[in-house]
Amino acid sequence: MNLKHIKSVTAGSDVTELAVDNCFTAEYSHYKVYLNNLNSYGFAYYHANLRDNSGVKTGTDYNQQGLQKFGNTSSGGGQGFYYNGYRDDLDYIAYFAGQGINSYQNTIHGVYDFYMPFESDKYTFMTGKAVTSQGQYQLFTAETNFVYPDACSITGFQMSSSANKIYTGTKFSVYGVPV
Amino acid sequence: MSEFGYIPDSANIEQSFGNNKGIFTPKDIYDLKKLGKWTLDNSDLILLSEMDFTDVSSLSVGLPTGYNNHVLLFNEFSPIADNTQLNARYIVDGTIQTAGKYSYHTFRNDDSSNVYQLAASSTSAMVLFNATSSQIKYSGGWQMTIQGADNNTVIPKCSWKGVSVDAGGDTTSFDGEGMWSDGGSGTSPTRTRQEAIHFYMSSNNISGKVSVFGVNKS
Repeated sequence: MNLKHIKSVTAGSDVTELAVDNCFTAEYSHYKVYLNNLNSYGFAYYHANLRDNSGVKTGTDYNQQGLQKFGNTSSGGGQGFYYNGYRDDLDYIAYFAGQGINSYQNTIHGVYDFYMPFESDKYTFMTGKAVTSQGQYQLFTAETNFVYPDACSITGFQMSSSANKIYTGTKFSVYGVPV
Repeated sequence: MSEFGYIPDSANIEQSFGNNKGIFTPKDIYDLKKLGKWTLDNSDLILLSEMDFTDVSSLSVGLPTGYNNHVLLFNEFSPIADNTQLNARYIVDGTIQTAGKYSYHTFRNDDSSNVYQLAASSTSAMVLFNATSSQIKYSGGWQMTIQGADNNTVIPKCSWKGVSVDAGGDTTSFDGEGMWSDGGSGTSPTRTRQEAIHFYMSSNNISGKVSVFGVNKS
């Protein structure tokens, strides 16, 4: 496998949204994205939306999310996979980067693959996996497989959360995968 | 080296593993490959090391500094016996970390008795897969991504996924995620970097190949 770095985006302050724009182009059909050092304190979800040349893609076309698997292990019990199924009722990519757990320091890492996002006559496919550590006492994992069932040209994505829960230093790095 | 295929007077010529700069003829490339010096790599997925291992009880795989993400690709991974378990531990300052700091990891494989398993408390290693039948004897390939091993401010994470096939053609898929609970207080842990990861089977030996990549600019 080969990778070509396209761009990296780092949160320069604590923000609610972090957009990675103009990273998907006609040059590649497959992209790999690494999320590093998403830091937060407190409970928060980390969802995502796709973007095109007009901005963020909203609406209900985010209804094809299958085989979502969430794992949660904590000290003193509470271990379990509490969701393992299919979502068809959302207007965003749910749990794109999992979630922060509580007031301890949460750090999240993630790896994602996007397929054919820029090709206007094809759907966009994504597989992703994120892992959260909460202090050193709890692990949360989220795996999302997603299809955007609208043939359109996607140019990027953005992650969103609760108010300013995407802390300084959170970094997305996007790579094209040459064939 | 051919007389005209290479420009030896360039101030910027470099010729080392993973870093070939210059102009080469096909014969130059052929000769360099034979010498193990041809690794022209314009990728941002940087090949850091390759290792073949045959009939070993364990192996340690280095995680060179300078990368936030390391990708390990295993091919022809073949346990020599059935009914065994693949485990992993980190290496810090030259020491395999055997304390019970791997409690928070998950693994799944579709052996009928091991679907969606979660690690027990005070676990002294990460379980990557655990077969109780012949399902992993003829394993295939798998990969692991390790994130944050070179960062002293975060708990490192890893995730893995693979598939294997047994002699009868039945496949087993497995995946998981883990963290290493070490350092400071529980609320805001600090730690030293992890320089390597150590793999071992619960019993018997393994053979295969592993390539280690660093993800540049991540």
